[in-house]
Amino acid sequence: MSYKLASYISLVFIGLINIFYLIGAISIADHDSGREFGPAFYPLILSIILFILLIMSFIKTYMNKNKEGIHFNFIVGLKKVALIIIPIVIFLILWTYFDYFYILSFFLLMSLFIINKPSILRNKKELSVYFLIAIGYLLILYLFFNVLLSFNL
Amino acid sequence: MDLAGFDWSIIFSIDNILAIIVGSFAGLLLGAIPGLGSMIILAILLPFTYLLEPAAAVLLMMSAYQAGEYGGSISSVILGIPGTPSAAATVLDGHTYAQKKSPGRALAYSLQASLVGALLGSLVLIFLAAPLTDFALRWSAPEYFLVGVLGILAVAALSSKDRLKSMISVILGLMTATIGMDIFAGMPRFTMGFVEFLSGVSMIALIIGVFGIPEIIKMLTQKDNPNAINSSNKDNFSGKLRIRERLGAIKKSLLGGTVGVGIGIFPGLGAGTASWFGYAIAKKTTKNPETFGKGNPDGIVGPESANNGAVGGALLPLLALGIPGSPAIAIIAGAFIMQGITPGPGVFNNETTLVNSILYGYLIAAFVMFILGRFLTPVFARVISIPNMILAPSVLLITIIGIYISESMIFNLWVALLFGLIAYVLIKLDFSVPSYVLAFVLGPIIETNFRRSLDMAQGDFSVFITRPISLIILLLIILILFYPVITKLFRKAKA
Repeated sequence: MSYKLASYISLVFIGLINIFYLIGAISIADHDSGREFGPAFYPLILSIILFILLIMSFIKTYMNKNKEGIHFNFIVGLKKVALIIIPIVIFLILWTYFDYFYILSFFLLMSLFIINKPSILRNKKELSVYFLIAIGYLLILYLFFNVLLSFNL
Repeated sequence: MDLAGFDWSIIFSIDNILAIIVGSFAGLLLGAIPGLGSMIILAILLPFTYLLEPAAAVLLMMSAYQAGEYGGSISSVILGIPGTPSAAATVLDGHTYAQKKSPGRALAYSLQASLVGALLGSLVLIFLAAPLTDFALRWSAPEYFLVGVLGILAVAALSSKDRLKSMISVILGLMTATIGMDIFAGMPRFTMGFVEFLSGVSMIALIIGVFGIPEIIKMLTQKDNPNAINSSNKDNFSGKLRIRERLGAIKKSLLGGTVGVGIGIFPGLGAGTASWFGYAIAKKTTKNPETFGKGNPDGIVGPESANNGAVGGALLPLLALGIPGSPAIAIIAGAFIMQGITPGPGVFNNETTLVNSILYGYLIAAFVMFILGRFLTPVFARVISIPNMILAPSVLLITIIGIYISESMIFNLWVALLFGLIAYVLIKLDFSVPSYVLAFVLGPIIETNFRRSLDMAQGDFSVFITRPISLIILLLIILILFYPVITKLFRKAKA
């Protein structure tokens, strides 16, 4: 994907957010507030300014010849980012329902280690080193937050 | 401010001293890790301020920010990669000096210069904050609104390659700040049905999300640096400076520090710009300018004293006027706000003990940074050689805990993740995250004072131009907005 195309997509995405924001601002019952400048007044100004800036940026991107050859490595980046984000999302879902923070954190750490260096799965010695690093780090966190600061993690 | 008449026992409370030591330690450690930077250091520490009294909370943040500036130079010298953006200028001579002569001596120059810069910054705070506050007491809502706008526009104009996208980031930040209960009318706005948003988007979740998550992803997707100097060899850090060398460096540091303080005061410039100015001035005043970039110690002293001086300078508008002039200072403002304190002239007059504790505590923090730096630099140098694949997940877990303990809500972790992922993509497309965060923190100040001004003037917008101070600020805003057009016109006229 080219930098220009990615820029257009981002501007359209922000434009859509702005439409939702504008609808939200219009739907605020401003007159109920009993003030001349109610809660919708300032957001409406922001929304209008954003529309103007988005149009200007769109035109600037279109006119900019320098960025034409630049490649935006979105898809390849996305794969790598997704591999990192998925364990975090699973961790958050499980923590919401099961509440075992340290056990879940151990699996999160190990999965991130393995994602970054899959070869450790084939080497028992290396795997045990990373296992000990995760356990040791979590023990320090437990002693600091749960024991010293009395947080219930 | 009367140094002799101040009750120093307040500063030396266990809470305050511990906050300074922990803040300095964290600043040195995290500052030394390439890529983390001052804003991420402060974002990571922000949730922990919930556990502290106001003075200790602010001192934790201020000492971390200050120590982080020196910490950044450790990575610049050892790895040749700036630990913080403001340590970029230090790489040029610091890393070369370390390779050719001694990393220990390079870091000794940096540490001493950082101390001088920090002391200058804290003295400026102590002596200038009170007069500036007296001046600010004459201000009213229109001036506060316009200074807020000036601050974010200055940052937006300087912090990104694309000014228009920076401006868009500013408006998005201001929009995000409108989520929650409207303080004038008590009506909910843009909460999307989430009860959790009634009190607004969590500042901690947002700040950690947009600074921390993209950085962690970046750390996990990039390779480690192969050009590192061997940091496990103790002899590499044993170099000491002679008295003559020390005195020469102090002279240069005073110059660099003064430049840094002056630059730090202006919104939008900050420690990064200050360090380059410090480098340029050191080059102009050195006896051997031809050796710059080849390991000249003045090339270490100039930027390092300037970036530490800029920290004190940047704190001045926050403490005296209540307006953060940079994103890092906006996070420190967040620590004040989370303690239920609005920084500015009101605090200065009503909470003198708190203000004095912060001002003099900051002075002590400079010495703590020096002592910790003197003895622990070899340890920090070793920490930065930890591979990213271990470091990044460890930092991730700390940020998760930090966000969670601030309000005990997993909801905030989802918010941080969402904002972080959006920020990760937008940063690649030259949108400005620092501008976004500064606008988010300043948003409530700007909106409140904007609406209050119009209420005061019964809807008459001329309130912003009929008052002399607000007119001057408005002219500055116009200058910043049209600066590129003006410079283009000048260039055309010249041609």
